[in-house]
Amino acid sequence: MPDTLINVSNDLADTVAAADRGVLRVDGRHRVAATGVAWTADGVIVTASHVLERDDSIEVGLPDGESVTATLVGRDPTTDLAVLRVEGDGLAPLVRSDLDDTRVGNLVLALGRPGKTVMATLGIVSAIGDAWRTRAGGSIDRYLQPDVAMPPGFSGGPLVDSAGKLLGLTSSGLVRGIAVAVPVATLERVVETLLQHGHVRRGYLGVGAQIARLPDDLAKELDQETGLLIVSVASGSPAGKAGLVLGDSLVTLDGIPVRQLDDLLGALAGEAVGKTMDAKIVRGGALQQVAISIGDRPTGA
Amino acid sequence: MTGPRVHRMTITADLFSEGLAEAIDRGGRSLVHIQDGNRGAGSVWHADGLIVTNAHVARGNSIRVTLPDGRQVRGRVLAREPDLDLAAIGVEETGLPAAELGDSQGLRPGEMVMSMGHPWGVEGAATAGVVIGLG
Repeated sequence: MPDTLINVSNDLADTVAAADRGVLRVDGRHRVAATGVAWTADGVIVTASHVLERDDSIEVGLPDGESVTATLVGRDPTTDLAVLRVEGDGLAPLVRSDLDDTRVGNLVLALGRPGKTVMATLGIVSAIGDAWRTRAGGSIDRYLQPDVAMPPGFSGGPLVDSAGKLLGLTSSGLVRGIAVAVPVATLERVVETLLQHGHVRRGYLGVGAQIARLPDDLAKELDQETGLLIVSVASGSPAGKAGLVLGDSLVTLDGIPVRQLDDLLGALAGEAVGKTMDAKIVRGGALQQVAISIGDRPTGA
Repeated sequence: MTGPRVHRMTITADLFSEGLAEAIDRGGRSLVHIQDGNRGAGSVWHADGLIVTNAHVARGNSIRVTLPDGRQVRGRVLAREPDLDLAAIGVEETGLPAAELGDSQGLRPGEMVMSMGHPWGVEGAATAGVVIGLG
């Protein structure tokens, strides 16, 4: 083979070998095991939430072939992330990289360890974009899409650049049909929250809602075509306590126009828990204002 | 007047790209096209008319083979090993361009490899990737 190709090929194999010890097998489902990434030397591991079909009896396969039991610190299905902890301080975390120096076209490797040995696929960065929200309402800091193949068991594994730096966690569970990576910025944020609270705190109203057209005069007045029609209110929920009832339409929350479900999820993300927010609702054809004390979304809700 | 400016790739990426094309060109010199039953690709194993292909490709005893120089000849299946999905085909030829053999023993995950064939009738197509894993 020509020299440059041989050098690139050897460099890539070196990169895989150097990252090898930071890539762990995560066995928490019936099918083929998946992958996790060593996050701290003292036992914190990040993986994808969807590869953990159970909350206990999770086994982690270490690079030396040893298998140890891990405890689930917490999971955030909205970003498809989970944090595990194992005893000991022998993990080899990967060096992390923000995406400042990463461009479309850069070479990347997806790594996995569904079995005993590390595995790798090669591709390029296909797309880098702004922050986006997953279908489950999770907030991801940057859109990062590689064109790497994702063989079974690669989910939860690292996407690394050609120098072996961690760019993100690959997941085939976030967007149907394509692999996307959850970037380091999101990993740091979610891991921190999971280590602190065991779950990601998200604001909770306790309503079921669907998009509904607003009456023409109100639409004109608010410069907003749609709101969210409340179709259920959980008893004792923040919405229930604030007096929301079936048939109300929510049009703004904390000053943010609520045209669709995504807007509501956005208003409830971040530091919403515990805040009292003013909401505008349409009841009986007229605008009203109510104050809602935002709750902490119960796990599994 | 100057013509439109073409952005030049960095030297290394340029060489990398050229290297890929060169390696595929070299590998393709021994590539044959099997055109009976299950169509597929094969490789010249020995200059004196020995070709290897997959057992599932070499169905039947008499096989139509397109040689690397484009000539079509008939070949005879000399041996089939379905467990390894390998078959040997003999053609009445000499001086064929035999494949250079590599050594898979020292391969590491992440090393670059290329695959060649004729998918959907596209002659001499290639894909490149890395060794995913080794057992």
